[in-house]
Order: sequence, then structure tokens, then C-alpha cells
Amino acid sequence: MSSGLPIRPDCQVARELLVERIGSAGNLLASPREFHCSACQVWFERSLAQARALNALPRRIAELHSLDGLVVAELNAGCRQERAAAALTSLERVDAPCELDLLVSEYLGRAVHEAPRELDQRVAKEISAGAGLRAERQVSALERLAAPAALDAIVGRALTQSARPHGLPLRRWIAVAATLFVVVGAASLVRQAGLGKPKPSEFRVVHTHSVASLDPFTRSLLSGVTGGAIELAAQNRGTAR
Amino acid sequence: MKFACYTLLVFTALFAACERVDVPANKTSGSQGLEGESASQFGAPPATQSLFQRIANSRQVTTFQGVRRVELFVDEGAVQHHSVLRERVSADGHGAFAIESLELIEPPMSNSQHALFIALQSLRQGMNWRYRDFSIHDVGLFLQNYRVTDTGVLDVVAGHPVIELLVERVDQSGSLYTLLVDSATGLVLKAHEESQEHVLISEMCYESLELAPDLSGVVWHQELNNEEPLPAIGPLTATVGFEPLVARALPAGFQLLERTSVIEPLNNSKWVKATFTDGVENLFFLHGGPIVGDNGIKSGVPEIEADLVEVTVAAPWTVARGNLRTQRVIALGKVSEADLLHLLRSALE
Repeated sequence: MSSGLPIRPDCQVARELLVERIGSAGNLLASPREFHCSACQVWFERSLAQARALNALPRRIAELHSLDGLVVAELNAGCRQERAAAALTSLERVDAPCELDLLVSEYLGRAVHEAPRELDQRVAKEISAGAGLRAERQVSALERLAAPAALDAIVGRALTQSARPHGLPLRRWIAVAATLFVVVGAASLVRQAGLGKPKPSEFRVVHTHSVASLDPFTRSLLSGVTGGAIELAAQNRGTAR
Repeated sequence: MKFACYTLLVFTALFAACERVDVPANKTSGSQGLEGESASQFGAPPATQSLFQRIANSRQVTTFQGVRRVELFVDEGAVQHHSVLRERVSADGHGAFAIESLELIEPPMSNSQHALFIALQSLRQGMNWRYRDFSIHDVGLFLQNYRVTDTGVLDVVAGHPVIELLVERVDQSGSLYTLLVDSATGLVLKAHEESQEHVLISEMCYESLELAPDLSGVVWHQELNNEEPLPAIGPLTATVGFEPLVARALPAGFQLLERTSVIEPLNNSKWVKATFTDGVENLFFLHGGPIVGDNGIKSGVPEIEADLVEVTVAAPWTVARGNLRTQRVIALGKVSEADLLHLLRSALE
């Protein structure tokens, strides 16, 4: 597919000079004495006609103002980025001075010992866990104290007195197990339904079926990660896979 | 009574095991077991390790230039979009690169639209290089989350002998990749991506490739979006003006890759972009700080209100964004809507 730009660089230069002869109102400021070539002449006449036609269009200033933001958004803040890119790409590569190379080499040559990534992660976890983790660590580090012998003796006597000669009958065990099963099952249902626990950061969710509703910033992000496919999607609706 | 207690414990453990488990962002990468699994499927562990490392580093350390064809599919609701373009890729072997879009083959469009698209592609070459093209962003996470199978197929792409690798996540989620890799350099010369349902998502194939070419005429990519690296952890108020929210519940296998700040060009407001990866895929969580004036996230229909998230699916990508608790947040990735919403909730807790 042709890009529409002149193939020959000299044509491009000639046409850029010709454009300066067309006024902002679409009028001819000064007729060129001669043209670079016949193609340039045809191009100039067509451009002049287009400029006049565009200038003759009714202006709807109020609506244009409201469209400014959308146009800027669509073109990534106007043509600034394109102009910036063009300006940057036209720059010649400047080699770094030898002194800078030496400094960089010296800097890179130093033994830079960064903390391992896992250490960073552990520190982040420690910080994010708050006081809970430290309290848990302190409690677990406490020395376990043995109960006094007198207390052991009292507990032993009490257990001996309360001990029954026979354990619970089988049907009692079955009843306990069934009760537990029902309780745990109900608890799990409540848990899975999201009841019984605080709602974490609730918000409403709506769905859109078109990327056209995305704001310019999100759209540019999505365009970047999809390789521009999102931009093309707007002009490629309905193409069957 | 002990029996009853044990029964209760067993039931509790069983139900807890069925519950969703959040993967913390700071989980250690490089599980030895999974590394062994990947390695054993590939064949020789030492060679496997070095091959994956070569693939991960290949674009940074190889001097090359080639022309490739890129085919992309995006599903927007029930509508499927297809685009094909050709581009010239150059790399100097020291980190500099350029992706020059040569032509858009599909869809057909007018000359002016074509020229505009090509111009915008030049602005997107950084994101294409980092996020669109297949690459291994973290070898440890890749070995932990992915299974690689060497099919034994030997082929030639752009005049270079390649081996064929099948790459898929061990939990059988996400995309399935078929890669043709130049084992000498680690360059991926052909990448075929499809969904778990075997629907084609993208395909890239080099038509020509020259190693160590003359690159004197290449216009290298320059950063244009003012993206600045930030510390992975720690407070950022002094740097960006607000304390960024932290996504604590990530989809399985993802970990934080980097944090950066980016500027929204429309209102010059600053966002903190957290990039997560599972080794191959990227997931983004952006926090734009509190809404100031009229810089809240705008939408089409309906307008995004307070505490409302708008979800847009452009499969395989999903985007969730909203103004939550007066904070601007965006999450996007090749993950499910549920994963993105879970991530957003975790950031607000």
C-alpha cells in the first residue's frame, strides 16, 4: 500500500515550498513561476482546490472547541509526540566524551553489592505485616513455664473423680459426628456465599463491549501492549477470522 | 471428645484447602521442583537452563536486523479483528533497538489512515518490544510457571536453523506458544500464540534475518513517554506526590517485575505503574493517586462514578478501571475479569 507521500525527495522539497504559497484562507498568495515537474503542478492545483474547499466549509466553532480534547486525545496530545519523534529521529547521534566512558567504566567496575531480591521481598513482607507478625514472634519466643506440682495434683484428682467407667455409647458418637457434619457444612456454605465476613472493598462493576469507551490514557496503554491492534480494531469491525 | 475435635479439624482443613489462595507479590521465584520438571521435559538440564537464559537475553546481546510479518487478533465482544503488518527490527547487541513498521497489509485503509498508523506505531515501538513480542522476562518465574517441550522438529526460518518448543503454563491457563528458536543465539524467529481453546491470538515470523549487519542507518528507539523507574518497595510520596496502592492479591504465578512512574499527557498527572509478570505475560496495575479537580477517569456510557469499575474485554486482554475511594486505578492484563477485580479489591484493603 502506498503511503501517499512523494517518492522522490526533490519533489517533497519542491512541494513544501509550494505549500507556502497557499494562504490560511485557502487563497493563492503568489503564483509559482514554474513547477518542479508536472506531477508537482497537478499536486499543487489539487492542494489549492482542497484548501479552498476546506475554507469554504461552515465553521462550527463551539463544537470544534468541544472536540479539541477528543482530537488531542486521539492523536496522543496533538502532534506533539509526532513532532517530538520526528525531531528526535532527525538528531545525529552524539558520541559520549571519553571522560564519561572512563567514569562509567570506573563506576561499573566497582563491586556493587545489591541486596538479593528475596531479602527485599522479606523486608517488604515484614513491613507490610505490621505489628501482628512481631507480636506473634515475641509470643512464640516466650519461655514455657511448667505448672507447679500442687496444681498437677489437683487437676489429677479432679480428672480421676470425673472419669466415667465407660466411654460414650456409639450412638452418642454418631450423633456428635452428625451434628459436627451439619455445623461444618453450614459454615462452609455461609463462607462460600460470602456471608459472615466483612465485605472487602466493595464496588460496582459495569461492562462495556467496545474499546471506544476507553479514556485516551487507557486506550494508549492497551494499544501499546496489543501492538496497535486496538487502534486498528476501530477501523476493522466485522472482519471474520 | 478428642474424636470430635479431630473431625472438626479435618473438615476445616478440607474446606480451607478448597478456598482460593492469594499469591503474595513477594513469593520467592525459581522453584527447584518445577525447574526440574521443565528441564526434564526439555532433555538436558544444563542445556535447558542456558537456552532459556539465551532466549531471555538474546534481543539485548545479539546484533541483528530482520524483516518480519506480524499477525494480530483481538476479540471485541462478538466482533473479531484481524490485522497484519510487516516491520523491520534492528538491535545493536547493547540494548538499543528499533522496530520500523514498513506496511500495514490488513485491514485496508486510506493513505492518510495508513500514514497515521505507521507514525503511531513508531511511538509504540518501545511497548511492542517490551510487552507485545514474546520474551522471557524472568527466567526463574518462567521455570516456575511454564512447561517447555522440545518437539524435536528441526526447521529453517529466514535461512537460520531453528528448534521447535511448545511453551505453556503448568496450570494450563493462559496462552499456548509454539516457538521456533535459533538455538545458537536464542532469538525467537517464529512465535505462534493461541488460547487454551486453540483460537489464534498472534503470529510472528521473520522473513529475513541478518546477524551482525551494518546498522549505521538505523534510527534507534528513544524513550518518549517520560517513564521513570521507581524503587520496587518503600514509600513514594516524596517522589510521586502520593503513596501508591499496592496490589496484594495477584493471579497465580505472577510477581512484581518493576515499578515506574508515567505521565498522562492529557493532564500531565502522574501515575505509578506496577508491572507484574509470570515470566512471560505481563500484568499492569496503575494508580493515578487521588482525583484532583476533573482528572478522574472518564468513560463513555455509563460515566464512571465513584466506587464503580468499568470492565472492557478485548480478548485476550481485559481492562478494569475506575475511580475507587476517590483514587484512580487501572488494571490490565491477559487474565480473567475475576483476577483483575480481585487484584483491585486487594489494593483497596
